[in-house]
Amino acid sequence: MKPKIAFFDFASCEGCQLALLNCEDILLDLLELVDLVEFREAISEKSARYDISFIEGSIHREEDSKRLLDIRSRSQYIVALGACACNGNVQARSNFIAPAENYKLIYGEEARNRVQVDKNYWPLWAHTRVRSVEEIVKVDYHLRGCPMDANEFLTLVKALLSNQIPHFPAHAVCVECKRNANECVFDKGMSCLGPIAYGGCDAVCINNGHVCDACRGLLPYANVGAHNALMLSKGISKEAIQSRYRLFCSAEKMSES
Amino acid sequence: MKTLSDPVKSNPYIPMMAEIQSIEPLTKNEMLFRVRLPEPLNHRPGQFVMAGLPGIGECAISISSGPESGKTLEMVIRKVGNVTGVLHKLKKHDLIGIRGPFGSGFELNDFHLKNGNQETLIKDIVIIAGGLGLVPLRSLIIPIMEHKSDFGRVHLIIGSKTPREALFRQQIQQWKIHPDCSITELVDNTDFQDWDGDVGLVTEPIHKLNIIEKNTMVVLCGPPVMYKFVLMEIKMNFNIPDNHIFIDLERRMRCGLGKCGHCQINHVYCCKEGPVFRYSQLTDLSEALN
Amino acid sequence: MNAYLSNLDQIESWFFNLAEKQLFFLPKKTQGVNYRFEPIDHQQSLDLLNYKPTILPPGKNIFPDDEILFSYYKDDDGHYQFSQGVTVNSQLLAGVRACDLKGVYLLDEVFSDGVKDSHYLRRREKTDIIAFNCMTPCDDHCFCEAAQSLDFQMGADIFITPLFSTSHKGQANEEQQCLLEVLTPRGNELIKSLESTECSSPQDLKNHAIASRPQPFGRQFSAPIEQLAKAIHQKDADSVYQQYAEQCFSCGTCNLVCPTCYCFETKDELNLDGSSGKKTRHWDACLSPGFAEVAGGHNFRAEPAARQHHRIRRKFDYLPQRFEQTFCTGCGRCGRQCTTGIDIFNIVNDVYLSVQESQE
Repeated sequence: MKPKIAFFDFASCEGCQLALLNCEDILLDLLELVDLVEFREAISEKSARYDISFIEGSIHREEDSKRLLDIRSRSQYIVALGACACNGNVQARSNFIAPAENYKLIYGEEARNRVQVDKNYWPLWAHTRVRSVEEIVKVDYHLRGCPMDANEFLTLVKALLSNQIPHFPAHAVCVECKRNANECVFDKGMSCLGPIAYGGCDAVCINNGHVCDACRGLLPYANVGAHNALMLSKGISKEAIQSRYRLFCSAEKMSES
Repeated sequence: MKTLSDPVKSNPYIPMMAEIQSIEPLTKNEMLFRVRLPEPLNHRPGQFVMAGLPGIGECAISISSGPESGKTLEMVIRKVGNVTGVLHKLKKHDLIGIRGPFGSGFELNDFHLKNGNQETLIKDIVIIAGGLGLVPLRSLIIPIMEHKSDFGRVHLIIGSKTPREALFRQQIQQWKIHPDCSITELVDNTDFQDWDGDVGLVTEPIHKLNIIEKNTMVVLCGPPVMYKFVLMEIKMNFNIPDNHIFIDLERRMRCGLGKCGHCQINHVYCCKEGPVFRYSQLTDLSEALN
Repeated sequence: MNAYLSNLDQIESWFFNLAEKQLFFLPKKTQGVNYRFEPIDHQQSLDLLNYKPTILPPGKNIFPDDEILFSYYKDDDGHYQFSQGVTVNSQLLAGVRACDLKGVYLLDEVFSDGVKDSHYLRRREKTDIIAFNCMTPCDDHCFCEAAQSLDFQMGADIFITPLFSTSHKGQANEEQQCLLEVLTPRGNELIKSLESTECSSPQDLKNHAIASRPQPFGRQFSAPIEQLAKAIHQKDADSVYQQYAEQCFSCGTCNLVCPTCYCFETKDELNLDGSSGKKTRHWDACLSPGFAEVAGGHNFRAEPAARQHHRIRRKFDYLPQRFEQTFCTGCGRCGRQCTTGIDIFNIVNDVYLSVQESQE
């Protein structure tokens, strides 16, 4: 029997599923090998049990958390798909601001006042904190990045289909910059989170002239102290550095070490 | 001037494919694989092979069969990661990739009772194995037992965590009938299992060994934590020269050719100069027994 | 072997000429401050005098990342059929500095030691090298003279020494005479298409050019390299390694840009059909935390300081014990590219000083 694969959305732009749909060259071969039972961007079908459940998006509301627990109980493997699911992504920046303040910032004072008295006004209001998938259920594998990397997706699916344990090395983005003989971002007079961020993306942003903002999260052994000192030495303000660290990683599970 | 000699045409990374003759579960996580190679391995005791499957990966596996096993290769594979997990799912007649043999291994000559080029006679051979350490040492014990009259007294100390993890018990029984061969089997604890051996650590029987110190060879293999304590016990009780103590070390081997760098212990490559070292070689290697 | 005289102008047109016949790499300036070995193109103005060490050393063209070690498929009978992988094309690396030439030479030694590495050696056989001597230190990072790689010329097919002051920057011209020493039969073939005159007294000219170089040439260690190596061998100087480790990101940049780092990880890949695939190898870095971790989780070098210690001793102690050469060429790449500013030159000096101090 073909393994059943499902995709579930939580708070996200669904860009990761779109990134997958963009790999037309492999998608058809892949669909030969699996049974795709839930995929909001493409088809609609339901199943009682899943072999691999891909979770896209961060978790905000209690009902989302309950739904996630239900998916976990029906899945053999849970894969956190993309930066929202893995480490909260940009929406988790709101974790650093009181909800009412945040609401006012976005929708204005009048909206904030209404939301406090009208419970049906905006259900998202119920959220307390933006969480990564791992904060609620056990995650078997992470496909990091904003969006996720299609090659890593393929590596993961191939491994699981052939009864293997997928392996994604925990190295810095710098490794991939060197493999691509990239000019260091710091040499270009800009600053970069590459030295402390998970690679695996082939340093795609730097290859294309941008900098790394650690969308794949911070490495478990990230030397944040040394990086902070490096950023300060480049004349970057404390506030700007903090804002940079918080851009993608605010709901990141703190490393155990 | 280019200093190169002619590059070899052969590709050292392509494995030979061997047919699995039998797979015997030894414990919950360990299986004995007996495979038939296309050509004899011609290995020395203590050497290892890279075993695996193309497309999946390979890992360093100690050779467990004796040097006279011809085209038959025996190895014990413990399920610890991705590759070994896949290997454990293989069946009889499936193919498995083998590269090797690699490493230094033991020279049987060093253990002979009468050996032409050596001034000292080896009257006692002490072999101490902890856990999976018995697996590579079996490749040394087998030829000693098969030609027992060429060797002096043999003292085996074999330790396991619990009776469930004890390996090759039937074969050990057969070794016991050889003359001048004393075998102590121990477990750390019986864990409510039947056990006819001793209970304790491999360090405990060491002081009771009845050996002629200057005519003794000692061989150790076990988990990294074992070496320090066993060596301390040996040094406290006996005066055995460092070059008469052999230690079989584990490192992360990738290429088996002394190139990829993963198995390096200070300046030596474990896959090339090791995994068997004389203790006298290790005193200079600060990373060896850490 | 023979030597010839020519000028930079003629050498440039010779390069363009050679580039039409084979894959030809030359250092080219990036949009920023660095250089990279890239295939030459006709639009390019050559920067033969001023380029500094490239982001990656030229040896990486012979030891590429993601190299296929073999590919395979299972035939209908379930037998594995193996093939070597890719065919190797010939290439010419021009403008290789002496430090990088020594890097290639050391890789040659490593890959032909013991079991020969057929992949490297096949590529090396098809690689021609035209080296270019240094008349001024590249920048503040280089220490090639101290590392004994200045003027190293083994492994080159042709070795070019400028016979004029290179501190003057400008367009190539006819005044800029160069000495070309042909070191191999292959070099003899290559030089045929260069407009040149044979030189009868190459050594005098070369000695004269070398004598006019700045002294000392680049950074110098606190002691000769032999003494440094001895100190590094004698004592582990843990506090020095620890001090540098505190700054370290464990990103492996220093390893990946080093002309003598060749550690690699192998990777097996299965195609979607499940019955074919390949084995590749990738550059690895001993500074990376998982480098010495075995199945089951024990890590033999879990601490950053232990990894830094290993890197330094490998360059100055371990590999020299095997190959009788220091495995640091003084190119300065690791210090130049380390984002956190760790420079092997400083570590080595500090280890030496700390060992000296402890002996007093």
